[in-house]
Amino acid sequence: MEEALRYAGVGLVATAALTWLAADEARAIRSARVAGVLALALLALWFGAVIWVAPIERAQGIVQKIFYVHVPCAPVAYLGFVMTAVGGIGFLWRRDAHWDRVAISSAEVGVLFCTLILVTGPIWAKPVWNHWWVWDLRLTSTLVLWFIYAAYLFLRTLSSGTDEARAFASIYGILGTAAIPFVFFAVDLAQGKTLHPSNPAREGLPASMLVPLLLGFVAFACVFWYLFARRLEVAKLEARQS
Amino acid sequence: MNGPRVALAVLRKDLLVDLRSRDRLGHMLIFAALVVVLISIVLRTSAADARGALLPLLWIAFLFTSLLGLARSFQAETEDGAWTNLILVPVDRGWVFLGKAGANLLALLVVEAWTALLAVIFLDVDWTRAPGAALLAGVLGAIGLSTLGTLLSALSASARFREFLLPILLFPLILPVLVFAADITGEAIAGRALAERSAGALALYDWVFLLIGYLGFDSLVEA
Amino acid sequence: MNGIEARALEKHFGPVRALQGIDLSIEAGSLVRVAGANGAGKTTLLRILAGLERPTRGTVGLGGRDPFGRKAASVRGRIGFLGPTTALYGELTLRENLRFISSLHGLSEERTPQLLAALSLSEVGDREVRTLSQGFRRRAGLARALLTEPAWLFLDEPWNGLDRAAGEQLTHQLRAGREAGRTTLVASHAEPTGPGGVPWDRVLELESGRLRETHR
Repeated sequence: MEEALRYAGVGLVATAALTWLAADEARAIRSARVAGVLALALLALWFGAVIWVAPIERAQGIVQKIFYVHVPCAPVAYLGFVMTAVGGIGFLWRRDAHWDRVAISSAEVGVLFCTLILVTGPIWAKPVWNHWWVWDLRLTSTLVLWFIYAAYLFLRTLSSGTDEARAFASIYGILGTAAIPFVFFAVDLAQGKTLHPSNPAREGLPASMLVPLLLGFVAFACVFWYLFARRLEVAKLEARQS
Repeated sequence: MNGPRVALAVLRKDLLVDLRSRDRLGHMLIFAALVVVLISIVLRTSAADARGALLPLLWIAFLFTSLLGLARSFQAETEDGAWTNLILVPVDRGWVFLGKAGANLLALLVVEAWTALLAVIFLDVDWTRAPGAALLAGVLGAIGLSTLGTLLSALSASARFREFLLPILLFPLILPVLVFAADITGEAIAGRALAERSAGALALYDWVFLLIGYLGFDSLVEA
Repeated sequence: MNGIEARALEKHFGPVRALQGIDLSIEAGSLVRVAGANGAGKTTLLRILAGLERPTRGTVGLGGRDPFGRKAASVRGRIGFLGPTTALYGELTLRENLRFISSLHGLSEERTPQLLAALSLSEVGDREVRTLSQGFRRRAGLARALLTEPAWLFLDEPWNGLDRAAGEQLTHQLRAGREAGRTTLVASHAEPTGPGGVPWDRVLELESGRLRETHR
């Protein structure tokens, strides 16, 4: 419970920081440079840590190192989805197309990270569990989330440029985020059990594994920040052109 | 000016249009019968023992049937520009949403009762083992489907590829309703106690989407 | 009380600039024609002023209240609009349609027979709207827009599809509305012909999304 609260707290802080950043479009776009430099530096550190610091796990072998890619993607994808709802609420509230650009940018980057989770998962699972796919809480709910936000992006391709389309998409983005806890609970209920560790018992990890993992979280968050800011810039250029 | 009056007027109008044209509800009933009969034939002729899959299958059948009706729930509004009247109501437009969702709920309840009856005839499902729980699951499930379905149907009413868009938007979001409702009915049929956790979660889910629908519909129509 | 104000209205549809920098102020109770060629932006202007569509930029005030604001419900209820469609349900009879509109607005139904008579619709009141001829459907749409006795009435090419007699009835309704203090905006590409004509208080001329001139 305490653990879950801590995660929620970190998520809230990240969301608040990104919301503050996104509130001023020019500031958000300018921040891409800082984010890029930070992301590169942290990625280099993270990569080094994964190669040289993280041990080769005894039971699973080298393939276990995919863990350092797979796990950090998850919170970053959630961050993208929550920011989609934030952008949606911002748009409906302010009726400013800028917030809609925030929503679409974060949804796209969120789906990218969600796809990474879904791709790295089976690559890891095949040699370890001997199956590409198991119907397990985290896998199933991640897949459902992917479908929700893929639908969101599909909705965006159908109609664009009108306030009507923006309001539609905003509401769907909010619906999607409101559904996330229920999707988890429903899948949990349906499955009853999971092969994934119940909310990662980080305390149990030795420092040699914890350090590359935490570096991964921070580095991926910066990658998200960078991509988000650049995508925002593209969206703004598109808007100016039309 | 009061909102409930507007909601009730919209509900009555929708029921009247449904009764007058008859095709929306009629098509749903025929479709549901076809699906249930198909399920019963396929289950009986396949070697595998699929009794356990029966209730989830029924819920899927109900979902597909509902989709037919939900997709057309705003047809009457867009056909000849009647939206205008709903945009210019003298109350918060969330009430219009409640009226539309209420009319859809009644239609879905009819379809659901029909599906349940067909299940008794063709699939030997015995609802009497826990009628209260089965009824609760039916009502809560139909509320979830009608609120979310009405809202998404309004979203896609004027979009291109409307028939295609609605299921794509609806299916991933409706998953919790299916899971909770199938869980409650499953426990009920097995003669066990009410699955309280599922019932509570389903009621909460209904409530959340009712709220988002009420608040969101306003910004949807005026855009 | 029920004047219309617009400040710096812009409406863009993608790259198309449908309205550009519209400023206008219409006195309460006046009868105004919006003239202009096809595609000049007449319909868009009417829809925005009637609160049916948000402007890309700029503000609208109906009696000093923003029809897009958060507390706009009471303003919205006093707007009447007739576009190119009837805005009626084809499966319902005309009377059922009008009963629905009345119940949305909490009105009694005593006005319905009188309105139907004024537009020569009494005979077809119990027929489903989809079975009516084009001319009757236009009249039926007009009856719907007038039913709530709106403070602001917006009519988009209302003479289209009306025969001479119905056109005169419309003109009569416009005069009566003016006497009752209603503010009416009529988009029409051509001056309607007929005995007496319409006593316009003002004519606004739209050209390519700009208000070119206004003359009385």
